Amino acid sequence: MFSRRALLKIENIAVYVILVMAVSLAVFPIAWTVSTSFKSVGEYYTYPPVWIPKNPTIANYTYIISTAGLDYLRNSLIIASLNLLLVLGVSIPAAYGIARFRVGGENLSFWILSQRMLPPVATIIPFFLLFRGFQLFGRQITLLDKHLGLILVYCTFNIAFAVWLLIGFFESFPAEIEEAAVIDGCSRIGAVLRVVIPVIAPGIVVTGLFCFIFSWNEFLFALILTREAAKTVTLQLSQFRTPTKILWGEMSALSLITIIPILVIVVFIQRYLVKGLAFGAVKG
Amino acid sequence: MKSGRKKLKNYSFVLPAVILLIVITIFPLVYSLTLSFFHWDLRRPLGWRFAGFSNYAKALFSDHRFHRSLITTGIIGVSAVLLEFVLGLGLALLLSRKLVGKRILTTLLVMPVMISPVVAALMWRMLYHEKYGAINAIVRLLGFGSGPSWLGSPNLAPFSVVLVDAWQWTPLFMMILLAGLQSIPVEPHESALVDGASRPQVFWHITLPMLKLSIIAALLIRLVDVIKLFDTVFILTSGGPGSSTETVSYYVYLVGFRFFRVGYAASLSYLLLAIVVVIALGFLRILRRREVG
Repeated sequence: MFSRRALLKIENIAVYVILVMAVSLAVFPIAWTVSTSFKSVGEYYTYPPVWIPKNPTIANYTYIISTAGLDYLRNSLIIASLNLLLVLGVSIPAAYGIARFRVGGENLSFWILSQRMLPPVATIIPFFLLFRGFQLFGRQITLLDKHLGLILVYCTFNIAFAVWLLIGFFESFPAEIEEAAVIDGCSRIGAVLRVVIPVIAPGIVVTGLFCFIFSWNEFLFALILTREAAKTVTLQLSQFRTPTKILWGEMSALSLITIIPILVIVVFIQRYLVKGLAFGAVKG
Repeated sequence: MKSGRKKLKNYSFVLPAVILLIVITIFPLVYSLTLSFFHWDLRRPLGWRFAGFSNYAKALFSDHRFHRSLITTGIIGVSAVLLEFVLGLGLALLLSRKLVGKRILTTLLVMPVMISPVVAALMWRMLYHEKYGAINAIVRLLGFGSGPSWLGSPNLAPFSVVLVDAWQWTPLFMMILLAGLQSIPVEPHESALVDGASRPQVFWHITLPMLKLSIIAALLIRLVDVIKLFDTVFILTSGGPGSSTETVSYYVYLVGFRFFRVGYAASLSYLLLAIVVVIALGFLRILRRREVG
């Protein structure tokens, strides 16, 4: 028989073995994409497949830069950034009002949260039909293939998310301190801007980063509502094919360029991932 | 009078968000609801023709492709969520121990969650390739013959979609359940162990019940999401082979944007919305109970 200590040691080794296997599974597809992004056409269409490219090439990356690849990245960046500003602009006051004054009671906050659950295919049909052209104050407006179209549409899921997350951050700020500032002669708005916002600034940044990621990763709305001028990077990724084959190397290169900023952000916001992705349903 | 004005002032905080949400969600949804009672084929110049309930009747009683897409969504969704739950719970239990290098392990494990589903599906499409893919290369190395056609066989393709979903979302379960585990007090465990309970007994009778709320919340969040499954299917299989991986969202997309029958697509999307609402209400009720408790 093993001693108790030996058993514990074996158990610990087993735990590490399982965890390392799980990590390998999580990372393997990314590693394979890294490898493919440095392969030439000849190497990613070989049988059996090559694990590590023998003649690594950066041709796939230069292809992305020399074609319109950067334009699509720029479109995604413009749409995600402006959407994030718009979302924070309306969500910060809304979250403050709900957290501090219970405006609208439970019904309002749950109505806002419920927007997050809306299936995109339910709104995509009216968006498409309306964006083809509608009259507003006597002017014909088209939002198809425009940045503004997606900036607005992405609010459907991001506002709900941002309000919900920000309520938690505002609630964690003690109301007494804010009241003290008001008594000391600050206006209400002044107290919020000078006392509350600086303290919960990290929470606002985290919320903004989440919104950015959600817009950056979105696909269905971009597929239907953009063509070329406002085409996002996820849409371009789905179109790396010629009539006869898929351009795996080029696609891998752009995939990596797309996920690297996201992975960097994740390292920063990891502490808040649970809170963010579970709508604060669970204490993180 | 003053309190009335104050109330009005408080309401002005939420006004911009509420107006924006009404314009971008309520208005389109009302438009779509109206449309669902009309025939409108974008390829024909007929415009809107009143249909009454016939779109809904067709969807509910005679559109077998729609029914099959519901079943496919159910099968893929439930298998994926259960697989993610079991694996996620296992990983959370392992990570709740005292470990050296826990932070780095967790960071690496959560990476798939934030990657765009499009990118995830594209990565797996490369791995799944029958001839040039890495998975079948491993199958061959292990000596199991030439390896199956992961995306080309109607029996295997739904399973391959489930695997990609599980790869991406197992870490979410892991994180939520890990957070739940860390908020559980350790005393009941210790006293139960002292009293002679075995570790499986402690797990079933103490840990699991205490995790109940986290588990339900995680299951419902993922169920609501998986019903909307579209990107993965679009990239991996386009609903095929045949219609073996055609989910509801994908079918609504086909009807609306490939067949251009937007009136009918609107009614289908409302039926999908009804299903999501039922699940979401369950979710909100649990959240609400938590707020009160």
